[in-house]
Amino acid sequence: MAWYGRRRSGEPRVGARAVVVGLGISMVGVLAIQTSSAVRGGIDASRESMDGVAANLASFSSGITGWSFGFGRNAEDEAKISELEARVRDLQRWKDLAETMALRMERYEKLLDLVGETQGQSVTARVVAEENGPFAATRIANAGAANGVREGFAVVNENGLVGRVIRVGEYTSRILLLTDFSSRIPVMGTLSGDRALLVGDSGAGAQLLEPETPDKIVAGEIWVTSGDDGKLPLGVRVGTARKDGANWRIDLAMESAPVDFVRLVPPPDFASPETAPALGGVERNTDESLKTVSAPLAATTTSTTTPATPALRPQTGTTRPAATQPAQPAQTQPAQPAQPGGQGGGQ
Amino acid sequence: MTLPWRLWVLLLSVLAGLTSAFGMQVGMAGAWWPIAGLWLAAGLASFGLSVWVAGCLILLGVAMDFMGEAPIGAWPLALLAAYGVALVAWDRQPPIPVIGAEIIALVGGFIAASVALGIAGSVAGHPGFARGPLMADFLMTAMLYPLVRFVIVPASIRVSRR
Repeated sequence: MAWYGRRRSGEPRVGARAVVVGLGISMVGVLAIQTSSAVRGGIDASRESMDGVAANLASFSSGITGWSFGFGRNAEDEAKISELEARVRDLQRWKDLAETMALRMERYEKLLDLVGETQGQSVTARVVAEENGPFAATRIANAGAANGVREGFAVVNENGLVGRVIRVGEYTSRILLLTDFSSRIPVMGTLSGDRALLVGDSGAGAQLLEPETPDKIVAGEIWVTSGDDGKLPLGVRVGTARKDGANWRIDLAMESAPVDFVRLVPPPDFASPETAPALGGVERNTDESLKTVSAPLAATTTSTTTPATPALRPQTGTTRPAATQPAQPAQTQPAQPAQPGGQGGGQ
Repeated sequence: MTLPWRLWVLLLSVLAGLTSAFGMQVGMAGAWWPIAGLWLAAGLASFGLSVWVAGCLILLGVAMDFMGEAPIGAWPLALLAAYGVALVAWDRQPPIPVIGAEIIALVGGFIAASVALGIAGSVAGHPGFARGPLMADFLMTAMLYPLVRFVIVPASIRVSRR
């Protein structure tokens, strides 16, 4: 008898066989019940915490490697650091320029009274674990709900769109890459203006599905997000178009370099029509102390009478500055052309 | 089976889980990374049928499901399928040489595992299943198996079945 025990090859182990087969069948059962959304919701909760565990395990493994094979800096590291420092200096200049441009753009938009795409605060994170298995192409970033990340955030890096956040743990978030089977992103061509759906197929790049005018697509054309789903920002670079037989594919910009640091960008902050306030943002008067003798009449008035109030308020100079702001351009703009004339008259 | 052996199998399963986690490091998504569970399924079948091994493979598979974003139960089913094929390979009568049993266990186990993964994906309603990364990982599994077998398959079995 060896240390591992007696091997009873001659005896048919019916019970053990039945148990193993039963375990296999139960696994099929476990898989089958996952078609239920309720069960999936329950599993997702456990996956959220497991993402953190997986990220820690990957970091732990990475730490062991660093401890085993890397001690101190060598010339290659020093050169890399110098190069990165130079790049940071260069990028700082670009950042200043971009901030200036953003300020100017903001002023222009205000002058034109343009309804822009309001954007919330983005979060920068580092990818701490990667997975490219038969079922999924995902990454885990080290920022989660505690950092303000929510499901549906777009994930971009210096090259372009990487994917979107599909699950958020406390300090980790799972990113679904554009190459994953489950990825569906509305995109548009910058030259052709054509719109299509970018679908991952776990191959190199991703395929363009249902382009509206495929004959107008140009090889090498840059494609960006169209923002048609209201979840991704408009104009994020996705990649370049390439003909693949009768279909078109996109060579993804994110594949041009390893994905390490990423920015998690919230969806454009559009209020849905259902949640938007009524015109003028005026609520019905429910304060009894403000009612006069005509209270019964006020109580029966409908919302059609309320828009009159904001027009009155600027004249009386009372509170509610937010309500007065929309009325200001209408009042001041007609007066502006008169000013040069007045000055000219004076001269 | 003895308690030390059970603990040894458990330790091997933990090591296999850590090996899988090691492949999740940043920059290794494109690398061919061995499927450690397949080593265990192919090698541990040399001891004969064991519910303990099956249980350890299921636990390892569940961990792999969480790490790989697979439907829960997909990898356990795949490893059990590979274990079943490996058991048949090792228990052939009359016994075949160890090297033959190992090749059948490994290659047959991979085929069974990939079929099981495909079925699992369909049953769980997963949108797709990529065979490319799985094939690359299996090639690395097979290439490293000659080294790993010395840890998994005991010398007594290797000598007696030579």
